[in-house]
Amino acid sequence: MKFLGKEIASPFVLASGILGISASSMLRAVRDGAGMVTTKSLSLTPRAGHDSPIIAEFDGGLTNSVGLTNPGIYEGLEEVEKYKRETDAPIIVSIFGRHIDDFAELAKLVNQSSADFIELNLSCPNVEDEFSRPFALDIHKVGKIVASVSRVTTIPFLTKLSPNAPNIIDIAKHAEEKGSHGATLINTLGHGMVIDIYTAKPVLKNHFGGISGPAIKPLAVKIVHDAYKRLNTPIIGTGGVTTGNDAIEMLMVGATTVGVGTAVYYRGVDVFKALDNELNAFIQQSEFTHWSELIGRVHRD
Amino acid sequence: MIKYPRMTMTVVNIREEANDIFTIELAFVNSNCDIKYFIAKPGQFIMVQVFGVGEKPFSIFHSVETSLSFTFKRIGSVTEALAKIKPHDLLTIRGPYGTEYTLSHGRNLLIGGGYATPPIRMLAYELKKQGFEEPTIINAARTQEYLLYSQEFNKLTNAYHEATDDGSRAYHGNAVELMRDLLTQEKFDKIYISGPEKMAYFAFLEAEKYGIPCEISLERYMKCGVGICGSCVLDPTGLILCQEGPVLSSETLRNIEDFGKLLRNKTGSIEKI
Ligand SMILES: Cc1cc2nc3c(=O)[nH]c(=O)nc-3n(C[C@H](O)[C@H](O)[C@H](O)COP(=O)(O)OP(=O)(O)OC[C@H]3O[C@@H](n4cnc5c(N)ncnc54)[C@H](O)[C@@H]3O)c2cc1C
Ligand SMILES: Cc1cc2nc3c(=O)[nH]c(=O)nc-3n(C[C@H](O)[C@H](O)[C@H](O)COP(=O)(O)O)c2cc1C
Ligand code: FES
Repeated sequence: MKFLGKEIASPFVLASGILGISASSMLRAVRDGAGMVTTKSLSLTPRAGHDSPIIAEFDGGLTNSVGLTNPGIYEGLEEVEKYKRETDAPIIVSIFGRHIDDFAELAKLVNQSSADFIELNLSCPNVEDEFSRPFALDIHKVGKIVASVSRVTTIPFLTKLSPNAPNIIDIAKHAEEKGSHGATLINTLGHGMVIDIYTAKPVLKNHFGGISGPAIKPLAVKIVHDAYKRLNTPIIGTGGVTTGNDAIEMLMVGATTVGVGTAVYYRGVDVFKALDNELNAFIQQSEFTHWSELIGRVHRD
Repeated sequence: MIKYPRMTMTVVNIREEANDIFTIELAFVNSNCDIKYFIAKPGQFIMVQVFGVGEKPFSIFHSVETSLSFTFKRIGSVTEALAKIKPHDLLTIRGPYGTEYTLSHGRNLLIGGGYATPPIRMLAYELKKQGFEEPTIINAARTQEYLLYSQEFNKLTNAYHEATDDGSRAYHGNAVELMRDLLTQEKFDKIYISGPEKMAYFAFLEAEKYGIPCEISLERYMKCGVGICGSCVLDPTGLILCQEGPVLSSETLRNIEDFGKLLRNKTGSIEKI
């Protein structure tokens, strides 16, 4: 099976921000059965991110306020080279900028590396104070960024969007029209808050953070479902996928591949092996011969 | 279902062990403290949160059904706030996390350095409690005032050795030099180490010369403590220290090029140790 022209061994993609700082941990995900990996979102300069606690669990998932911790694009791309020396499994470099122009500048740097794809993180909710509203909420800004990256990039790129935008499907379509080669749907939801009732204080140091995990899965499934009907480009369906059955739902509504983030928290980095097994067990008992036959199944009558 | 519950614990007491080194004892009293989750083993750690300040990892120093303690050195914002904690204040913890020292029969050498000694103390108690042979213990510090738990160690074994960098008490030299001397005189089956990484690294190299297996506790910058943020990952194997450590065996350490040399800082950037 090919994704944007590159061979992938499984539909599972390590989502951005999960163990994606070092080549060694991304290689582990591949050894454990991930078909592709995404780096932590990288910026022009290093960022320490927010102070801990950066995650607060609730009954249904996580809220996180990592705050885009990353060593910067230059060191990040050195890890990409280390990764590519060891494997052919595609790697997606996630980038984010403070200003609209940063994205093209970052994309040019990624072009010069061995990376397979770029992902524009337009939607991280963790840095609003600093960056004002996330770009992903503004269809015109998304269009501008996508067009600027499209002009400079020589490798395919995906646009990662926020479920906080009520018109997320229109935004995804607009991004496609401006040159985006695929969509990653969805980033974390909201801001959520978890309160410690004994101290009457928010658990996260930053007080609030993006919601991920099982609680957002039905939302992600609906968004991918709707996006599949409008887009002609592939979708990495991401949000709450924790089991093989969750992944099957995501494929059936139209995801080409399936992003996995918070499940690493619940099931460890070898979650990919388990997901592959669970998916294959379903295929074997069904009329299908390959997982790619599941893609968009829901849309056939 | 919550995978890793947070427990809001009440401070029972805080004592200053030495200049800038404190021990806090916490009690499981609030309804979110479910002690059935909390059976801590030597070497494991907890994430301790001071509300409004931050959350950092600390080794468990003592753990019983009703309470738990940890020892820390005042070096930055969280430990500064912890040093000001008073009885009845609340702290939130998560854990216990990570791997433990595996107890084994035979002639054991335990080496603790500076304020990283707490897990060694807990290990020594556990060995005694479970009826293992008396170990040989090396406790090393910069100066005599930083030699923690001397009296307790003296009671736990007849083979207790101390070293100070400045020679203010006992052996004049560091833990590795004292270990080297002991290895020329005695045979050991296993060595357990918790201390500054450079010390641990050179002690490991020494043990390798004699072919003695080690278990060593390492520290890295830990943001999440639960294996998702990636800040504690060791190269080139991608070992996730917060889950697959902090206690690592010689077998594992032989494959870790970062050991004693490199770590990732707050941004994830690589730095020399
Ligand atoms: C598994 C594990 C167990 C630990 N157990 C203990 C323990 O039992 N007792 C204890 O006191 N500490 C322990 N630590 C270290 C402790 O987590 C750090 O000291 C913590 O960062 C202090 O937080 P802070 O906010 O006070 O200081 P920070 O603001 O984080 O740091 C202040 C300064 O100290 C430096 N620094 C941070 N950590 C270390 C370190 N480990 N060694 C040297 N310099 C450092 C920083 O670079 C910075 O310059 C452990 C760490 C790990 C990973
Ligand atoms: C701890 C954590 C860190 C994340 N960091 C990033 C990031 O740097 N860039 C990004 O685009 N998404 C980031 N995300 C969002 C995930 O990639 C994913 O889109 C979201 O969590 C939904 O998927 P999940 O439910 O499988 O986790 C992060 C999520 C978590 C939980
Ligand atoms: S501290 Fe986050 S992965 Fe270990």
